[in-house]
Amino acid sequence: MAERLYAPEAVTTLAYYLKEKPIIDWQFLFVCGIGIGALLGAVLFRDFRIRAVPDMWRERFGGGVWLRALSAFCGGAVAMFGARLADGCPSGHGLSGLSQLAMSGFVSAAGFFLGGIVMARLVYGRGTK
Amino acid sequence: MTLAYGLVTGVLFGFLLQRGHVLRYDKQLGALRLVDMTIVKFMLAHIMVAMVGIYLLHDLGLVKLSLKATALGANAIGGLLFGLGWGLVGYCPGTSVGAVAEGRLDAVFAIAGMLVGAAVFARAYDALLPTVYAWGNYGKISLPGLLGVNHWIVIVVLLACYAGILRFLERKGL
Repeated sequence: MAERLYAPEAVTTLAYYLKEKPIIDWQFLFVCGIGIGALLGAVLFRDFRIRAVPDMWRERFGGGVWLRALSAFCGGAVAMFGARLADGCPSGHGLSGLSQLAMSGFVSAAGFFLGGIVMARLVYGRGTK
Repeated sequence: MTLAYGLVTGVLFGFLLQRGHVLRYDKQLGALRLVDMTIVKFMLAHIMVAMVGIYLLHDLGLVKLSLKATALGANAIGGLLFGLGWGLVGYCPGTSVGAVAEGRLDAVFAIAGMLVGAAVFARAYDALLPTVYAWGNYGKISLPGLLGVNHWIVIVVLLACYAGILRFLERKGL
């Protein structure tokens, strides 16, 4: 979607975008809806709080905003590449896929948690605290 | 009409994700560090209900299944890559917008990274198609289809397994 703004020629030439057309479809609105719903839930139940560093991260790495921003950016890029390759994330494969008993869901979900546990161990070490 | 359904179900999903506390970095990393299984319990509970509901509606002819194709190479390698990134970022692509809506500013950087990852992927797609995607490509298969048994047998067995996992997690206080 975003590429239509800064790289319009890529959208019309790359094979992936010809297969998965970047248009406003129900899935795009679904994601917008998640934002609206989450905002409603957070505001109605007084759970909304601006914060740039999650508590668990702060305990281990301190309150530095940029270190956390960098880790989020890099992790996001790798995770998204993986999600595109696997054709889904814990929502698409984990929830939707496993609910439909899709084989792709079982394989991908195993990969998500295996990779995630390895990285969490690398970031936070062996301890539970 | 489909567009409106997308928006309405999205709002509901986002609201419930927020109330279920599963948008939080601390909960996602908690699960990956095996110290707080909130999101695993959320996912299992979701799957147990949806599995029965979807196949019931399917048997009544009210819905069509929308299975994602199984390509073992892409699913496994993509899954592992996703996991490694997930352990760093602590947000899921689908729900990171919800994390921002909760006030989590680091999720903005996560989304920026995801846009870059998606753009890189679109450019790598041509090279991946004849390689990774060709490994173990079985098309749209499901577990009952693979086993050659009725889907309700699989559902009952899985319900028992998932219930067992939930009971185990509750007993361990996770």
